[in-house]
Amino acid sequence: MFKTSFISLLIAASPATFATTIQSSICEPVNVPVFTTQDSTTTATTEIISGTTSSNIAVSVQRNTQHIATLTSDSSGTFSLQVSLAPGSNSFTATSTNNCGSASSQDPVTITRTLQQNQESPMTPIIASPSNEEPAEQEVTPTTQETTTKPDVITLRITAPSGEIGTAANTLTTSDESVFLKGMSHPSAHIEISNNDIKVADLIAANDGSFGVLIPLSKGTNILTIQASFAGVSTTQILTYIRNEKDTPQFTALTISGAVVIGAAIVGLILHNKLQLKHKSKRRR
Amino acid sequence: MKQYTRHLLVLAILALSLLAPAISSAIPGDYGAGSYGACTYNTCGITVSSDSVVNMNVTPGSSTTCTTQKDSVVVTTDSPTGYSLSMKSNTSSSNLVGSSAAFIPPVSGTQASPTTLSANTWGYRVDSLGGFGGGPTTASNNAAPSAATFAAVPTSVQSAASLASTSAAANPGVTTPVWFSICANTATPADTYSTAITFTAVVN
Repeated sequence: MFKTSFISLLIAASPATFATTIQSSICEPVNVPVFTTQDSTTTATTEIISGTTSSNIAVSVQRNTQHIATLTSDSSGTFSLQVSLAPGSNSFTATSTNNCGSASSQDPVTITRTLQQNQESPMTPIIASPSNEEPAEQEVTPTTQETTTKPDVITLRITAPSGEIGTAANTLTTSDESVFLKGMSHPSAHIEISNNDIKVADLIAANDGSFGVLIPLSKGTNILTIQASFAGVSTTQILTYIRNEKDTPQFTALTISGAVVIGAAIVGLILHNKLQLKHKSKRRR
Repeated sequence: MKQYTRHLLVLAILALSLLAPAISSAIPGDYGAGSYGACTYNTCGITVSSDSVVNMNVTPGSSTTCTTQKDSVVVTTDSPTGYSLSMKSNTSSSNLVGSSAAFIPPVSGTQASPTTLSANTWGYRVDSLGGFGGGPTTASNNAAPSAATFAAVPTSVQSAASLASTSAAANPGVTTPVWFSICANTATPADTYSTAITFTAVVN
């Protein structure tokens, strides 16, 4: 009887419970990004594309399905970006993402970069030799040529994080989680940066050729490949950053040695007291 | 010293003689059978579980926008007298609380007299319970306000809302769909708002 009542009491006092979280995200409205830049054909190597979306929202821009930049629209919802153009079709899409991760994108804007035919008649052979010399017999197949003035060489000078380190295969050691890479190159050069063969930045140098970008560093070796290209000419530099762990204070040895000292003192005290007691009892006897 | 040991021995024998009936009734042979109130041996365990998190994301449009989602509450018991399921908030308020000072209050309706959701309120409903009506309620995202009625989840200092009461064993478990809905407009700042509630199941 006692056992039955006791078990019943236990059951009555043991309801099953389960906690649930009710969660609601109120999401920023997302206006589909609309390019104000029209589809066009150009011979330029860069173009500024603009559009509108919700205000102060993250806008991701892709070129031919490859992500090239993430920017934030201004308070009126406008965004714009200078992009480099590859020869042929450059299809740009923009995706706006709100605080709930809801994304919205529109039909792409397509900018086609054409290569202007050489001013010479296609039938006129181009002689691949210095004009002051006797024409060579070898004919070169007529080709297209970019209208942009083609530089002989693209300069690329990396000037960060400390001083100029403009030669290849530099190795720097840091404990920082990122490095702000600054440099100079050809005006409007297309700068691509890869870290351990993974592309981490894609930008256009300013009109004065300067560029700067924050590059996250992973632990260990970070081989940064910086390529500057303009009008089909490119140059590459490689920097190696070795990211070490930040030094952390080591308390373990100190703590252990402190504990050993205190422990030894206590044991010594006990032994000392015991000896004194023994000594006293001997003297009593 | 010997006297002390002798006293201890006498006390031990006395204690054993008093405990003997209880010990003999608790030998292994007694387990595996028998009735204990409304339960037979090993039949009165009860468990309750649900989906743990109910997410209701709302992207307000030009007018009030609502999202409705379900939490499936499962109670399992072998009790032949069934179980009772109830629900209340873990806090003294039933507001959905955001990361800042903003919050979303519950609808004013009760289980007996539920109401439709107005802008920037939330609530629960169980089809065919109390004054909720039959439904059936369906999940929806960013929809226009519906005619379905909802009630406020009781606070921790109020009586729990009874969601189900049965009179038969529930094994396999019996599911009670509890619907939660929120309506919002652009007056509510974009943020994540939440609260915790507890489902309680007891054998009848």
